[in-house]
Amino acid sequence: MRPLKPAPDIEWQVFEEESLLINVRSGVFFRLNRVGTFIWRLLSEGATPAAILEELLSHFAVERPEAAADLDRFIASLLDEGLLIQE
Amino acid sequence: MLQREYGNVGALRNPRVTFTITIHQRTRSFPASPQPYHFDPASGILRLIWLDGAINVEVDYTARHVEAWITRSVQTSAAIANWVITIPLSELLRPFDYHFIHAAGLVREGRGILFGGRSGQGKTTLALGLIEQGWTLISDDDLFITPTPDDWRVVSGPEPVKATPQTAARFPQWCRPLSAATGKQRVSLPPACRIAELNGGLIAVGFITPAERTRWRRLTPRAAYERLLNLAWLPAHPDYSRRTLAVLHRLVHTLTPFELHFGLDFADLSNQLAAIIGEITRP
Repeated sequence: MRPLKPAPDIEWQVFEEESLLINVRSGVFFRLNRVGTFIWRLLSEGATPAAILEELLSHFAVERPEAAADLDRFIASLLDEGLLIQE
Repeated sequence: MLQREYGNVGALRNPRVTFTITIHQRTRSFPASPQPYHFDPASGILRLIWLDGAINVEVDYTARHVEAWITRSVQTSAAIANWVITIPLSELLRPFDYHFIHAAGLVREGRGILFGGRSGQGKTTLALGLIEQGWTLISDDDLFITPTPDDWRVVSGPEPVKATPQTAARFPQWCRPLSAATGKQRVSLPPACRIAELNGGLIAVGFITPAERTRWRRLTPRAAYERLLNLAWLPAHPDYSRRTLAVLHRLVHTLTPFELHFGLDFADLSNQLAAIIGEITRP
């Protein structure tokens, strides 16, 4: 998979451990919970999915298979919604 | 074709933003658009489409010019004023760091509170009820906010205060018939009840929800921010949109956000607001 990065029209607003992703062209916004915010922060810093998985395992009480599947689903949904793009 | 020049709109004299509006009876067709707003980076023009294309507006930020095409079927001058003047004006003010909020603003003893809410949720009724109890009005419906180094400046928008027949019936001392078609009434307040702007002293931002009984609760900054996005924010020029989003983020973190379940009981409301202000200002 090519490197991932936030789409250019997406603005990220953080509220403690939660956040919103806002499309500045369409006005549509998406809510990220604590884990989603944690992952998005790493994605926006250029981390790879493999590196993010290791961070998740070290910060949250979750088994590797479950975390990997959830991360894959989350990244797929970010790509589907146009919030994340592949370079 | 009508061309008028607007300046000195509402109370906003600094910055003084002058812009021109050209209004056409609709003489050309417009392509269907999936969104009611579209910024074209090539031309730098924001296109706004309302009422299924009955009103088409182009806002040129650089020339400060608004071009509008309106079909004959658009009857209400209030709708035209809102979409052809107020909203384009709010766009042209964004480069000056003034940001539109669909809210009432009221002040008592130097402390200001914003009350956001959609049309029909009780902003004007709340405002007039509070004025009866000694509050001072900035606006009942349209405000511009701008951050100052350690506070906020809040300025009234251009719209006069208008009331529905139901609200006017509660406050007959201030209301006079305005439109036979809509039943709207113009509200004429004594000068002492209004101020054009508030410079500092803003303490809270509330969001009105109609309810049986008046009560309030604090909101998280995120919950308040989402409500502001729904009330205050129109995606436009991406640079200005980003700035507005940052300003709203600061707003919900520097003021106390709350939800007001508004039950039209002003005696109880007065107690509720006294409690809110007491809690906000408690050391």
